[in-house]
Amino acid sequence: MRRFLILFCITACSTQEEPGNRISFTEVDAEIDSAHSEKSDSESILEVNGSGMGLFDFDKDGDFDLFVANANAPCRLYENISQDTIKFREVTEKIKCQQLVGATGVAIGDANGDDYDDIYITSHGQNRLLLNMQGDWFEDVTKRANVGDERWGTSARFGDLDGDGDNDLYVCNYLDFDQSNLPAKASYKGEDVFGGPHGLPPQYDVVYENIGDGIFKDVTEVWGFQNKPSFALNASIIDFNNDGHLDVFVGNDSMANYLFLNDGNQPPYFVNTGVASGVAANGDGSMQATMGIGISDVSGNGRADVFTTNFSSDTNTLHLNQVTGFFDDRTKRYGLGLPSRTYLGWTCGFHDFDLDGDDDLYIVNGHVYPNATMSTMDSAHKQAPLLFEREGERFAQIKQLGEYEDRAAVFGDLDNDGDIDIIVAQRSGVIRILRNNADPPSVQRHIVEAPLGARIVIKFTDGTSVTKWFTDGSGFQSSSEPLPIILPANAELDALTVY
Amino acid sequence: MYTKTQKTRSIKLTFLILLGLFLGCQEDQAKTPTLAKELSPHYELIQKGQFGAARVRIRQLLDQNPDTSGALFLMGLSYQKEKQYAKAVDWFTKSTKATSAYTPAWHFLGWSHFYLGQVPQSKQAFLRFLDLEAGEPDTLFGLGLVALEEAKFRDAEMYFNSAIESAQATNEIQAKAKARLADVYVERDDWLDAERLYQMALMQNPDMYEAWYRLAQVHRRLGNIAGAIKADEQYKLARNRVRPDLQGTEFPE
Repeated sequence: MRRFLILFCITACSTQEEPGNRISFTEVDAEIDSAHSEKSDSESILEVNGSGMGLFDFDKDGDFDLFVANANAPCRLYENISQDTIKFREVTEKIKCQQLVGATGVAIGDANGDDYDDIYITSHGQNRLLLNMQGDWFEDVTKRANVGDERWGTSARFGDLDGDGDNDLYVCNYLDFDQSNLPAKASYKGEDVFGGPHGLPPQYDVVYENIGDGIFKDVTEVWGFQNKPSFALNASIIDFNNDGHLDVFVGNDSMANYLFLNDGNQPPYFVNTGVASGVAANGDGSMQATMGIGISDVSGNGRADVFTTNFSSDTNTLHLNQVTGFFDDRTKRYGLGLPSRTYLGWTCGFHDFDLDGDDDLYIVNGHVYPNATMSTMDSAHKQAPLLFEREGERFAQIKQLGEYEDRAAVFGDLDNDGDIDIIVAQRSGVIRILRNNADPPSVQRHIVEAPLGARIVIKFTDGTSVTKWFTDGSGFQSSSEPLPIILPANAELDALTVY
Repeated sequence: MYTKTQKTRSIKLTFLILLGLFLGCQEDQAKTPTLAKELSPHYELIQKGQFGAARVRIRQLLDQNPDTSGALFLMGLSYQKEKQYAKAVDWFTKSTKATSAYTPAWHFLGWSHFYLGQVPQSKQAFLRFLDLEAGEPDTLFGLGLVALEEAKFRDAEMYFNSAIESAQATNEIQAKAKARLADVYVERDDWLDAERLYQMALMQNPDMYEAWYRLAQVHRRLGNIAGAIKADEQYKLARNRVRPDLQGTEFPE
């Protein structure tokens, strides 16, 4: 167990109205350019995933800034200049590198131990590592750092997998795709659709050990990650079995998900226990699409439960992480299954949006097939997000409006008012800033210094406790700086311990 | 709910049972309308998977008699069998509006709503069907699934038991209801009863590959690793039998 200093605790007060028991967001114009995918209409599997975002305080001025990856335009960096309302200013000129296009995913983390978060970008071509030069500018150090994998990368995550005090890197790779040799058309519900991923060669993921000073070494095989190649779309690095070592959950498209458990040795060795633990597939053994990964202690047993978003005409899945080490599909119990059947889900996030002490759930959606309609595929091409409020043992759906091609989302308190706001990127189109209307009259905000993936146990004076994880959010192709612990003002905190 | 093929078989079976009821001059014939004999060729086209041809011919009938419940129902059935549930709902709803006591439409409307994630509508349609055809086991099974989604485990248990005990229950319906009853025990962490029920269900129908997967998971929880490995093997065999299209997506461990 490691204890870290609680750096900062403030009580933010407001005389605004009491928070309601329903959650609502207001879209605000924050002057963020649209997301640019390969083409306006997706004609192949290459163009369906869109690109991700990174939300982090790159200049350490106390607010969340935004990095937007683009496939068909330069990536962009925005500085948060919010005061009365959420506002950003483009500062892309701080990124000193050439041709930063073709990007897919973003991982945020400190790669060189200088206490400034850096940016790792996955792409259809060579991935890039941009070092944050003390908040002033970003330098492309890909070649020197040895992290320029050239396969089709999707999501990536930083985390100290070998426990030596620096961030290692897990990169999800999707499939081998030759744009000049498109796969044959397929059929879905009687409609012609583009081919893939089935029929295309899946790829191996790559794992890099940080060997110091921002230099990395490929340890995929020696650390045990050389599993079957897969259509990897997302990953989460936390300690899933509470043994003090970081593990890796990998979400694979239409294939079994992996749960690599860390043996804690030096060097570490990871064993895939996805099937044996029950998290590889849903309760019926169906290998799902797994675009989004949400982590929360839904059952309240102090362990990280895993929620995944999936294809339409399937359901999203909630696996409860039991103390026995097994993961049980309890999606139905919590009311999270059938409401998702007409949706195709991507990024999701568990956050206490209404500040009532439990985690709610937000999911962004959009179909991959441009010809998807309710009539043809029981699922529209453009879809509304799904929002669930935790109510006792169940999650209650709060209907959301809109028609979007959403893919990526990042979560954070953009305006420093104590509640969690959301930025959502479409596959191609407007990036939406959603201000949380909770208007909390009073909250406790505890800023914690801990390594990525750490487990935080918050104990209250009445003997109860809640568990959170200090993660980058596991957004689909996206990444956020870990959030402070926000508690209702009247919560009587006894101890906050980092493991 | 178990597999696409099994669901198709289940639809076929239920429809044949229902069709038998309607064509067989039952006592309650006055209460439930029969499927007109001129629709039999259209139904056969649907059975053969010739959905487009069936729809062209059904539409010709509907052009002449737009409120024919049986024709409206078959139109819905043609979409249901293609897993186009939104369209199926439209046609089944039209069928029930044309003749509110047209029982097969209510049954399949319940399933279509279910697969669109519309729990209240699914429940309502299933219950309406049971008002007209008390004890129909596939509808009781459907209501059990709805209750599972609502986390009403006592209700789910009651419905699955009723489906199993129904005089009309076929071997296949009994098997799938037992397997889903086992799911209720899993929700209660009653692993021993769940194991027993999965085994009973799979004795009756070894093609339910999802149940083999669940049995393997339950064996693991009970420390029966050898049993889990055997169940995993049966899962793969059953899945390859029933869903050959899924071959090549093996579990990696």
